[in-house]
Amino acid sequence: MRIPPPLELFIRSIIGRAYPRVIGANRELSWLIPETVLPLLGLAAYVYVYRAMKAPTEFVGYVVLGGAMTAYWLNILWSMASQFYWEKETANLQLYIMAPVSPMAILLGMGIGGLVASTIRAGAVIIVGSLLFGVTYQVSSLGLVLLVFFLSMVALYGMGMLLASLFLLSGREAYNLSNALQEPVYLFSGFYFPVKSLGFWAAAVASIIPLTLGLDAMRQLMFPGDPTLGFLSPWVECGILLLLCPIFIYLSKVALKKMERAARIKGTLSLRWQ
Amino acid sequence: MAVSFEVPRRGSTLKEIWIQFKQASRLGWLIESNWADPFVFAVYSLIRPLSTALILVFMYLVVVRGSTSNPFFVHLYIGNAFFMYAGRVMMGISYAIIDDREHYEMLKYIYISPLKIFVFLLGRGVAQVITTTVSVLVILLLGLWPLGIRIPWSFLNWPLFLISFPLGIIAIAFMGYLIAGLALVMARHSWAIAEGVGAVLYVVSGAIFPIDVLPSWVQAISRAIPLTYWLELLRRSLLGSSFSPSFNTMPDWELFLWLVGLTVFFGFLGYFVFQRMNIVARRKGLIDQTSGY
Repeated sequence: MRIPPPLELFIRSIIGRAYPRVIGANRELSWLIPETVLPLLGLAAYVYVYRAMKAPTEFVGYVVLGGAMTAYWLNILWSMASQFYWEKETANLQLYIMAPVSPMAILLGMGIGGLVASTIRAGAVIIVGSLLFGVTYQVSSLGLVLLVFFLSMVALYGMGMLLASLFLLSGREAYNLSNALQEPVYLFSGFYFPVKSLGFWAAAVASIIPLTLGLDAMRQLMFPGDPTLGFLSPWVECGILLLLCPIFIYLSKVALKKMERAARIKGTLSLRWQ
Repeated sequence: MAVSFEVPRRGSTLKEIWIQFKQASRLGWLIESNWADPFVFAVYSLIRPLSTALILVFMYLVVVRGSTSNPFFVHLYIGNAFFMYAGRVMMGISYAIIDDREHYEMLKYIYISPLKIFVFLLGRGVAQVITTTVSVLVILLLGLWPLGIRIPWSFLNWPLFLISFPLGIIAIAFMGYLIAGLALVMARHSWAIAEGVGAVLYVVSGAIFPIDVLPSWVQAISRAIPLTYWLELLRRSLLGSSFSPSFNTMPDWELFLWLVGLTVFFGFLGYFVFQRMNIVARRKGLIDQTSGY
């Protein structure tokens, strides 16, 4: 049996873990309905709040864009951060650890697979939400929008890998932590309102979550209605995101190594219903 | 963790059901809370509802840039706080089926224990009522003190509040049974139904905006669910006024009658759907199915 060189093994592991994510997500297409309808319902409530307050029309666009981005945050929480917990519950985690592959490659595969699946869902939310609520976009620089989106996703999935490694030791609390992190991030990242309204320092601290800056920059580039609502200039936000990408990936690598060792010592890798 | 329970003796049916209910509530509380120490659990219970409330606060402030004592904001804030019962109690009852069947694989053991499944689910709901009450109180206090919401104390209508509040909780519980019944016979999409119904109710019940801004066909749905009337009655009892202009002309007793009627309707519907699906699930051998979802 040929043992592939480390890089080839790493890449094949990524593809191997991404494959079930992409194929699995598209095999059961009926999932697309709840996964599109649920965020739409959530954002519909906020759209009607803005309409009841007679807010400027771009706020509806903010909500639709924020609602679409929830697909990525939910993917990070439930399919990255707490994934090792689910794998533990289904007795797969021990198999991952035993296999001669890097856990980093498994996480990257999960991230890439999850990104593809989430993009389909986010796209569906944007299309349906925009049509339902009559959102119009005025994109000033498509290239910059795509760059901001790309950098946000790299940093965000790097953060997801970091969370996954931190959750490696967790039992039932992983599920509850994911549950508890959902809405606070909607709040601090300004999913449904411009993050600037949190105040400068709160928004600055919230910028550690890549979606905060990503969303703010994309809103400024897609809805140039009121320039005073933006937190920082899109170029500055782009630069910070560029910095966050390697930081999160490096931290996740270090944390994964430490947490895996701690889990081996504590013997929690195969512990179910903890 | 070893948990000991009082074993009901055969005798009075009511006494037996009461003991089962107490045990189910205690079990529900332990399942909800024993994964963390009390402080972490308290933070966990509060962080999510507080964040949702603060999202609405910032949405209001960024658009209106006005005082939080504005009646629109006060109605929105109060409605959002009390809607938490709908989300959590309904989900507590229905999600117990999904959790205990798919995740902990304990549902079959509940069925073979002396505990009645209907009473067991009620216990899970009670645990949610307790934690939600704490969250609602904290959110109301946050509204009163740092946010400066003004409640016109002279208008407080305690009798109306005290008869409307439990009735709404009963309606919510029966809606939970309705979803729990569907969850019993569904494998993959049961969680989506549970979450979907909660999300639909958040929109159509007018929890955070007057239902008048909804399209007319959605308003018709709003008027067919007990939560709309429940939230309206709670607002009237606490604030002395309506959120939705279309309810302005409706007297309290008419709103209350709607709430009673719809609670009875959903009570029958929830009970019969749950019992019917319970039989179907047992016949088809679905009680111990695990689908990996």
